[in-house]
Amino acid sequence: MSPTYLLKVVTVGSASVGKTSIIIRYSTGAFREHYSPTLGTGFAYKKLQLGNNFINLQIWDLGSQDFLERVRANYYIGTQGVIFMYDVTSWESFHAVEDWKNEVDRHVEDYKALLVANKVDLVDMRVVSTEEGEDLARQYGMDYIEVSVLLDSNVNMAFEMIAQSIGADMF
Amino acid sequence: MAGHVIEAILITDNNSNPRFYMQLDPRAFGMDPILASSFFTAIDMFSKEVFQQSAPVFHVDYGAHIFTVLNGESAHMIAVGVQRLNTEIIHILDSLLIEFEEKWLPTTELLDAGAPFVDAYLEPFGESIMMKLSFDDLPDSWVPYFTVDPNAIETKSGTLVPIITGSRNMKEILEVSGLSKMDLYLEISKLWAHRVIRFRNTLSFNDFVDTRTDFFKYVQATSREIESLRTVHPEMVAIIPHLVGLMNGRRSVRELLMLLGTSYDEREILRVLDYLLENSVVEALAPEKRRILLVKEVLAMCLNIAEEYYHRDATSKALVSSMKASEAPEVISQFQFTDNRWTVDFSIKVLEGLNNRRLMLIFGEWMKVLAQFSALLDPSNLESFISALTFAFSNKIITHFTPFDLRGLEEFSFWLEQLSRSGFTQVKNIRTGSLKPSGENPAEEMIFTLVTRGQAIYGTERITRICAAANIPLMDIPPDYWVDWQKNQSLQRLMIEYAKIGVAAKFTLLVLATRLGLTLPQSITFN
Repeated sequence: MSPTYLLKVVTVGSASVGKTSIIIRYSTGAFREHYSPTLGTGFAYKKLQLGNNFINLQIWDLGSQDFLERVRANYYIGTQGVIFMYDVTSWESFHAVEDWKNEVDRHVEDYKALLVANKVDLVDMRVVSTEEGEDLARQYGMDYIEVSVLLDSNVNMAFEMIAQSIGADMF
Repeated sequence: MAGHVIEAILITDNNSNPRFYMQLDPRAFGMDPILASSFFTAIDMFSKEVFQQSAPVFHVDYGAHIFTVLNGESAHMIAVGVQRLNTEIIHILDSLLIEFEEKWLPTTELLDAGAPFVDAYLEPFGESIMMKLSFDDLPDSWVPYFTVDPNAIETKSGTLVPIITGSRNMKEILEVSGLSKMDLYLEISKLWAHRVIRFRNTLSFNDFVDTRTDFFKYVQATSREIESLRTVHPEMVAIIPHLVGLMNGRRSVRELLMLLGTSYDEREILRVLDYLLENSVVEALAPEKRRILLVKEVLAMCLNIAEEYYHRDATSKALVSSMKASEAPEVISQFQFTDNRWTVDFSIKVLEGLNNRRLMLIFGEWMKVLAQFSALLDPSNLESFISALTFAFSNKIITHFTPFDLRGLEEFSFWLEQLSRSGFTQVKNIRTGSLKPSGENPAEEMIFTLVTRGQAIYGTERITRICAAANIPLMDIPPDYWVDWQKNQSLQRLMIEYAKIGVAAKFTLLVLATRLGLTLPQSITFN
C-alpha cells in the first residue's frame, strides 16, 4: 500500500481576495455566503490521491491584516507550498503579491508557489489581465491559475497543482 | 404543498433573457426590485460559465442570499433564498421548470429592452407555483389587503374575498372563514399568485427598523407627504413624531412597542411602521446590515466595558489608533466624540444605496476596528475585560439578535483567545483524524472548529489532551466507529473542557453554540 503524505500549504494575499472562501469551497464544496476577516488562522484539510500516492493536504488560512503579521509568523513553520492569491478586480491586491512574497521568504526557506487569480467571474469589473498575472508568476517562478471560487471554477485544479508541485520532489 | 424558504423565483432562457419572475415571500425586504435586479446583473455577467456547469443543480452565493440554480433544456430557474433548499423542494422546482419549458416558454414573449424584468410574469404559472409552494406560515398578525377592486377579481377563492377587509388579520380570517389553516393558506396563495393582495403588519418583533434620509418629509407639518397622510390616515400624523425619536438604528420593533405602547395602541403603531415601510422611508434591516449592527453593538459594548477597567484616555487612545488603520469612511464617520468620550453612531443612513459586496467589506472593517481596539488594551486587565464582555454579550446580544446574525463573529472571539495567550505557539501540523471540516451536522462543525482553531491557538498537545478527555478520536476511523450519539456526548465534554482554558474560550463557546443552535452544558456560566 502506498504511503500517505502530509503536505502543508498556506494561503496568503490581501484582505477579501477569497482566501477563506477558496479553502471552504475546496474542502467542503460549499461557498461561504458571508465575508468575515480571518483574525488569526483558519484551517481545513482534504484527502486526495495523486497517481498512486495518497495525500492529506493541510491548508492554513492566514489572516491578512497588517496587525496580524506577528501571529502569522508562527504558522509558517513546516510550510511546503504557498498559494499567493489576488483579486482580478483589485490592483491593490495584485501589487500586494510582492509584499506577501517578501513576508513568506522571511519565514520559509524552501517552498513551492502558486499564484491564484480569483474572481474572474466579475468580467466587467476586472482590471488585472491574464497576461499581467502570468508575467508576475513567471517573474517569481510560480505556477499560475485563474479561478472563480463563486462559480467553483478551477478550484480543485489549483490545489492539485500545488500538491503536484510539492510532490514532484517527494514522490 | 411544501414548506420552503424561497424568497423569489427567476426563470431565464438560454440567452439569459428573463422570462418569468415571481416574489414568493412578501417580507423579502428589498428583494423587489433592488436585490432581484442586482442579482440578475450578476447572473447575466457570468451566465455562460454558470450555465455551462455540468451539475443540473448548484448553488451560487451572493451576499447574504443563496441562489439555487437549476439547469433545464431550454431555460434556467434561479430560486433566491437565505438557506440551502432541501431535496424535496428541489424536486418541486425541477418539475416547475419542466412545466415552464414545455407549456409556457413557447408562448411567452421577450420583454422589450429596458423593461423591468419584474414585469416577466404569467399568472397561470404563478398559480402553479403557489399550488406547489404555497405559503406554509403566515403569521397571525399579518393583515392581507386587496391592491385592486375585489369585485373585479376573477378567482375561485370567492368565499374568501369578502372576508379580506384590509383590517382583519390572518388569525381573524381563519376564524371567520371556517377553513382549515392549510386550505386558507392555499386560497391566500392563489390570490398572491394573481398579485391582487399584499400584506400589512409584516414586521416581526425582532426586526430592527430605522429611518431613511427621505423620512424628514414625514416630520414637516407642511410637506406634501404629511398633507396626504392627514387626508387618508390622520391618526398616524400624531404618532410619527413620537416614533422617530425612538428609531435610532439599534432598536427592534419589540422595543419600539414597549417604549411607545403606553401612549398608543400597539396595532396603531404597527400600522404606522407598515405605512412608512411601504413608502420606503423606514427600513427593516436586511441580513448584512444586521451583521454590521451586531458588530457595532459589540464595539460599543467594548468601549463601555473598557472604561471600567482602563483609564478613559487609554481607551480613547486605543480607539483612535484603530480608527487610523481603517480606510472605510462608512466606518470612521460613525464614531462621535462627545463629553470627552467616544461613542458609536448607529444610524444606518450611511449605508443607503450600497450593494452587498460593499456592505460585506464594511462589516469586515468594523471587525478589524474591533480586533485592533482590543489588541491595544493593556493585557494585564484583559481577562477581566473579556469576562465582563462575555457576561454583557450573553445578557444583551444573544437575546437581541438571531443566530443567523452571528455568522463570522467567532473570528473576534478566537482573536480574544489569541490575545489571552501570554505567548504564541508555533504549530507545524494540526491533527484532525476523521473530523469533518464542516457539514450539515452542527455538532460535527462545532467539534471540528474548536479542535482545529484550538490547536492553532493553544498548540496540538493541549488540545489533544482535551480531545482525549472528551473521547474525540484524532485518528482515521471507520464511519461507524464514532456515531452521532457519541459525537453529541463528546461535544458536551469538549465544551466543558474547552471552557476551562479561560474566559475568552468561554466567549468562543457562547458565540459558536448560539450560531450553530447548540446548547451549552449547564456548568458553563458567564457570571
